[in-house]
Amino acid sequence: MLSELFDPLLLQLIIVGALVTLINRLAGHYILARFEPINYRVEAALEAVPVAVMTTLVMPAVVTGGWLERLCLVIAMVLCLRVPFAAAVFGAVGALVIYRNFV
Amino acid sequence: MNPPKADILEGVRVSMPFIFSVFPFGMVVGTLGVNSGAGLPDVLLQSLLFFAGASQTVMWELYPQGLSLWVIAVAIFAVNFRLVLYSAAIGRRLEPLTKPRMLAALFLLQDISLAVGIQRADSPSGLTWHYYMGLSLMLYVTWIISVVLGAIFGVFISDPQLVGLDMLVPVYFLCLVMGFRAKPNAATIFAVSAGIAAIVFVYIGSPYHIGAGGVAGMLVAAMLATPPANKASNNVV
Repeated sequence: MLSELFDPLLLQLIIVGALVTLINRLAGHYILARFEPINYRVEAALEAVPVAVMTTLVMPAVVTGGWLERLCLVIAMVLCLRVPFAAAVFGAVGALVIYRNFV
Repeated sequence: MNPPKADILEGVRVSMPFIFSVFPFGMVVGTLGVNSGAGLPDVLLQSLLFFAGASQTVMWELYPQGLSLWVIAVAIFAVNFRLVLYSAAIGRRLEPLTKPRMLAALFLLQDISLAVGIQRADSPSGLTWHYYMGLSLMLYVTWIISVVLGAIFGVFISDPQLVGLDMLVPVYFLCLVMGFRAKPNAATIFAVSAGIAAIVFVYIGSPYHIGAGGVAGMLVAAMLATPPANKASNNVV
């Protein structure tokens, strides 16, 4: 039985949370799709989404972290110019881990 | 254009480096769910339906506090608001698609599929639905497996700092951003978004820095945009 497997209140929360998340995922495209063709400024704003949004996900670490954490981010940026994605991520985090454990 | 099967495999291939970075995050979310008092079925169902790590984390942090359903729902909406922007950005790059295919693609949309998908769309090969689904389904399956393993075995990390867990997500997103450095005005957009996000994070708090910084960066991009050069000549012809 479903009710034996799931806590009813928690099940409600999961369903509502999933619906909210799905609305987020659909809203952007389906609202925008009504306004074709789009203006060049809207186009530029949409092109900017990855940089504009993902940058914000880095900032808490910059604000709450110390100089070591900020240096780790700078190392990651430099590595990104030279090596593939995964190597840059693990290089920067790896250097930080080594420093924290051994220095 | 590539045959669908080749495109799916290409999508699966590019997902590989990301799988390693998604896995630890999924295990932490699975452990967090069980530690919040949920059972494995709850944790599994949440991951199957959400497929959005940050909001799953927020839900497991708020759930034990006995808040009302709607307070938690608003928190989930706020954390996932970036998906609205992602959806607007990638939906039109996937068009034209049948409705079921578009719904499937948008259901699986998250940070990596957006970043990799847009980069593919900008490349000469172009973005196809099959490529996008190969990538996104690999991430989806990885996410489910890692969350379930985290829920079953539990990740006990006495000091997350010593294994660098606190910096994995920021470094990861910074490297995704760096992949877009050739885009027009990327450095300016980066600077404005970073500045506004930092200010809002300090004075208002999370998760509002995401929406504020994101929208600020998009506004700057719109302001700096120049009209397409060939438009006038197109009108004449």
